[in-house]
Amino acid sequence: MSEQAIISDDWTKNWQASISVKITAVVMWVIIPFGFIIALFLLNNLQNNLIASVDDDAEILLNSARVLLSENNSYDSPKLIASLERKLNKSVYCKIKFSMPDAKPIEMFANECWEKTDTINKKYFFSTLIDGKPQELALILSYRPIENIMVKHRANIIAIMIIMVMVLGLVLTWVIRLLVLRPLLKMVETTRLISEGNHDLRLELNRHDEFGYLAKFANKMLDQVFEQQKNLKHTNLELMKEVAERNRIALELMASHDQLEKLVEERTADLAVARDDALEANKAKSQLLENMSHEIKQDRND
Amino acid sequence: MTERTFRIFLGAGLFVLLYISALMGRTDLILFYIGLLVFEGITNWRVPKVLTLVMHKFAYNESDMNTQELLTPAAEQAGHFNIPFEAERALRLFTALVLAVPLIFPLELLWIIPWVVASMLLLAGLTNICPLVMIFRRLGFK
Repeated sequence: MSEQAIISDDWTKNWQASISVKITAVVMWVIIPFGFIIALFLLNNLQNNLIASVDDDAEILLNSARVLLSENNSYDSPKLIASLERKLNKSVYCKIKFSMPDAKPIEMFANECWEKTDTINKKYFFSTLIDGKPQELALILSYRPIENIMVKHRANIIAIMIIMVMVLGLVLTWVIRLLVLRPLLKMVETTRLISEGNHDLRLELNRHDEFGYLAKFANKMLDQVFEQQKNLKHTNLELMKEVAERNRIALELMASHDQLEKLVEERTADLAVARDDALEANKAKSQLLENMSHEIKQDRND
Repeated sequence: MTERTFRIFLGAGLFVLLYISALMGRTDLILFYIGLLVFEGITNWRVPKVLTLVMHKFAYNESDMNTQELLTPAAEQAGHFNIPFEAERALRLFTALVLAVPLIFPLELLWIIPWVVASMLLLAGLTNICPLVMIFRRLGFK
């Protein structure tokens, strides 16, 4: 179990086993739909702004062209063209075309909008003073369809959103690993060492959270278990001492019994000898008495 | 190659394809992707399956390997399925169908569907948790 847990910590090698990856996966499955909702909201705002910019930017460009023509007093001055190109690049439009009677039209392009690009054109006519003479000018402003512009914006915003979610996922995995997996692995490692016989070890997690409480109560439980084990060992030792004492007494009793048996046997043997002696004496006495009686009887008869 | 690794490639590949399509202003590139998924789903000649088979043939003697066992899903080996159709094939056909929706119904809001599918595939590959395959297996697919 410990080895599996340690391997799971290395989430670059074992994604499925790591609890931090599982938590991150669940969180990211929730975050991604929200990311898309936010992206949709941003894109909707962007589209509305672009639609509004079509008229606003046209007005800005038209006024700028009128003012610049009047100020520069020339139809094709480089300063006028450079100023208008700057304004063009900031606007939703991608092409400006100036035309004046009896003059070559002037065209300005912004990025990604060339002659063949599919565009929508807006044409304006206005008059201004050039070289002190009133001139009639035509201004054609072209922009790419909003849908085409939005496709790019959508791709960029979604790509940014996905990258952000991936980065968030990695950060989240790292944070979960720090907050959850590290104390968990420490507990797994410590319990492994305790199970292998290091009974003095305890879970050292000075945290005021579930892991801290778990470590505290696990330590308390271990103290109680080992205290009970110690008491049991002590009781066992006492019992063993008592058993040894009883065995010793039993042995002594057996020795005394054997000694008594031996004594009884000796006494019995002595008694048997004494009995035999007594019987022999009795027999001798009887023989003596018989002899004496015979002698007396013989003497009397004589 | 595992199904999971291939899902990462499928997701990332769809992202790249969608991004390139957006930059180039083309909508036909995704048809190749849908075609690949439909081909895999119908023929069951899935890229990870074929690659595993090829790699195994190079790595071991043909007589030593049990190719059928190698390529048979765990559920099928255990015999726990009601529908004799692999969940991975069902995933491909379902994904192809979902990707075809914005092409069939030209509603503006449907542009988001391929992007969602790409992110889901990528996430399923990275985390090895694919809810759709889990649902298919729960429904009884192999």
